[in-house]
Amino acid sequence: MTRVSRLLVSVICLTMLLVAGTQAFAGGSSEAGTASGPVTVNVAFPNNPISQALAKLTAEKYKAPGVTVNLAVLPENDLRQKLTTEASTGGTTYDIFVIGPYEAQTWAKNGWLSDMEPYFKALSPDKLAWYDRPDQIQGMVQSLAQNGDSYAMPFYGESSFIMYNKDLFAAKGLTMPLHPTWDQIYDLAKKINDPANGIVGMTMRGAPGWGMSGAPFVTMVNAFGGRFYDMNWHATVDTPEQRAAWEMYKKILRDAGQKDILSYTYNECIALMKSGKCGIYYDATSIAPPLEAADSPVRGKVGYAFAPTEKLQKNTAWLWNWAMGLNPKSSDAKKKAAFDYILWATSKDYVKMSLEMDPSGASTPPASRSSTYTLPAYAAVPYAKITLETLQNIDFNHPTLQPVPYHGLQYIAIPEFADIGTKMTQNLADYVVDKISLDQALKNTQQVFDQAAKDGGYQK
Amino acid sequence: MKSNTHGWSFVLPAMIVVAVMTQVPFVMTLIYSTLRWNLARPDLPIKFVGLQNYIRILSVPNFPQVPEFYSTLWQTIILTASSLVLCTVFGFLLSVLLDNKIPGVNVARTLILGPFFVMSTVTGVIWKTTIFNTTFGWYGVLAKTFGITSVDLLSYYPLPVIIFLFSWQWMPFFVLVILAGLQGIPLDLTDSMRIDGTNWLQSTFQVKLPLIANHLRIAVMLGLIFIVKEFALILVTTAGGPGTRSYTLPYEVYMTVFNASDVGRAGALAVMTVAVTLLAVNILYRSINKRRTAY
Repeated sequence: MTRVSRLLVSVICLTMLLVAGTQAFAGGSSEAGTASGPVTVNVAFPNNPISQALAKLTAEKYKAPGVTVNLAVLPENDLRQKLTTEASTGGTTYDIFVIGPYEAQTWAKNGWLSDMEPYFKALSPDKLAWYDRPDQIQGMVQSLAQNGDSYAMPFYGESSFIMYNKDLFAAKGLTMPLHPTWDQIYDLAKKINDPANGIVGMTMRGAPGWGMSGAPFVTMVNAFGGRFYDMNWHATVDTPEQRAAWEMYKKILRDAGQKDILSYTYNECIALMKSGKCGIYYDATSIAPPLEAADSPVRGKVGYAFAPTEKLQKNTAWLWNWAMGLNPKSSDAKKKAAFDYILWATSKDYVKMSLEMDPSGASTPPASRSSTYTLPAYAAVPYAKITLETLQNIDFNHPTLQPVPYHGLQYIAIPEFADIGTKMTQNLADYVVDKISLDQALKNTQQVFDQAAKDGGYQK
Repeated sequence: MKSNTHGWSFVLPAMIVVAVMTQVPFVMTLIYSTLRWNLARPDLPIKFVGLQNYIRILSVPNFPQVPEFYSTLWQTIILTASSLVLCTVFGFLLSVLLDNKIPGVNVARTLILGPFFVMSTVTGVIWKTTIFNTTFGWYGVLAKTFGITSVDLLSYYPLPVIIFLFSWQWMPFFVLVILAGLQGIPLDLTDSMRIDGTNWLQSTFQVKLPLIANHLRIAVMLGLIFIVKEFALILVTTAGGPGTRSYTLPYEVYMTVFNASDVGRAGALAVMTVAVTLLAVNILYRSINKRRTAY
């Protein structure tokens, strides 16, 4: 090797070392910087009006020295998939995981969420009194806890109920019972349905996905007395009770529902209901606020009734909340900044702030705090009383008529449900648009549920 | 001999870089495909299961009921083959049209290339929400105006709709390649055709088409590689549905790993997808090599 070549090699090696060193120090300084310097907290929320309001208020009102909150809003299915991958692979794209009780239970067990109790213990008494933990709706808090420790804080919660267009009902001389059955709902929807005038009798989520069509559908199965597993974890999908629920779901949507059944997520359902051309809508209680928003064409025209029953006479609604938990893989400084942000976003002050911004209550997180319902502006909204009553009567641990080995009202709280629940809704979609028979749909779903119980080691 | 070893030492670093960059992900996928590994169940140990993931995907336990893999494979073949045929036929005809020297032809060429530059997700969202929606979309509005009952095309005809969208998006690519071929035909040849008195049909299909056959084959081969892995358009339009009626192999891999969190099964599916694609590309490549045309 000539001298020039040696020199060249030395220069290249030195340059590479310098670059590597700079990278290492840059990495190190960013961690160090998080301790005292600027910190960026990344968080993603499901796309809905309440999340959009949070994004707006965060940008305008959240002031924490040296902390920037990057808030993204994603479609619900995408958010779930992204966060599950992130948590299971130890990613740090998001510092706050916005999840529901389904994820919280499993993730806490898997170590994918930080225990929040040490952070609460470190708070000053004044700050603790300001946050007022006893004011949070305890059912919501418990659904996010493991052995008494909270792993996420509820941002807003929801149950499910019936929303109906009072004008369309009055025009046809119909009355919605306060506690309707699914048979009554079907009859009413058929009477309201008027395709010649563009009136849809009833809308429900039709897009497949365990959190999409799966949510109303599983509560329907519960109402008809169905269950997904017996106490020995043998699948019980192919039963008369389930069959009745599958038939009812199809009957309602095919005889009186929207045309693009399978394209409808709750966003399309809301748009249809808001257009004033839909009679009945069964979905989350958190959907009522946008219907009553100042700019909503159906404001004041929507009536509310409890979730439909059938064989099961109570507890046929669902329970869900969107809660914020800490990513255990984020740096300590980020976790502390994220925890402070969570306190702000789930505080009583935030509830008041959102009501000041939008007095209609459409942007206010419901069902997270009891005090929300005592605020005059919120107590006056037409859905407040029925929402609170529904939430108070929900039994998360006894979802079905017959005993089951699982928890969860609109889902089964096992990690496999994301997959098998989605497959169930795919079979449901196939059945609804006549691609397969009911026998085939039930048989396919039965096999999927049985296989999951075997693979997951639930069946003994 | 010594100089040969010396030469290898220069090539070796580049070979290592290329091997690492291109083959390591595939080797990792091969390894994953032999494991029982569910990301959502960290309590269950990751276990080597050999070919069990493959066997489970390929087995037909309830004959004559066809397992999901075979219907997905068939749908992938139908989607890809139909899109390629449409892209080739209409791409060729459009290219012939654009090969004329007429006023505004450059503007027309630019406009026709438009869909190729639109992202798949954007294409999907635009067609799904503003065109195909039976209530709010143009299709719904037009159908209502003319008193026709609109049908939810995405639910009832998912495969034809996706084939149409794939063709809409990828045809411009075919036009680009075929047009380059047409413009490469020597002028003296086209002059000879004119002097010999060929009509349009003869000159287009008996002279020009054989001359650009290689361009067509290359367009089809590249189109095959691009279209078979197309995934975003399916995600935003039908999300694989109704049921699994518009699943393709790449979409099934995505759902298996991101929805079911089953790394082992997703790995096996991915390996089989690569194998099927390589086989198809290899057949096309051999056909190109066999029938080289020169002018």
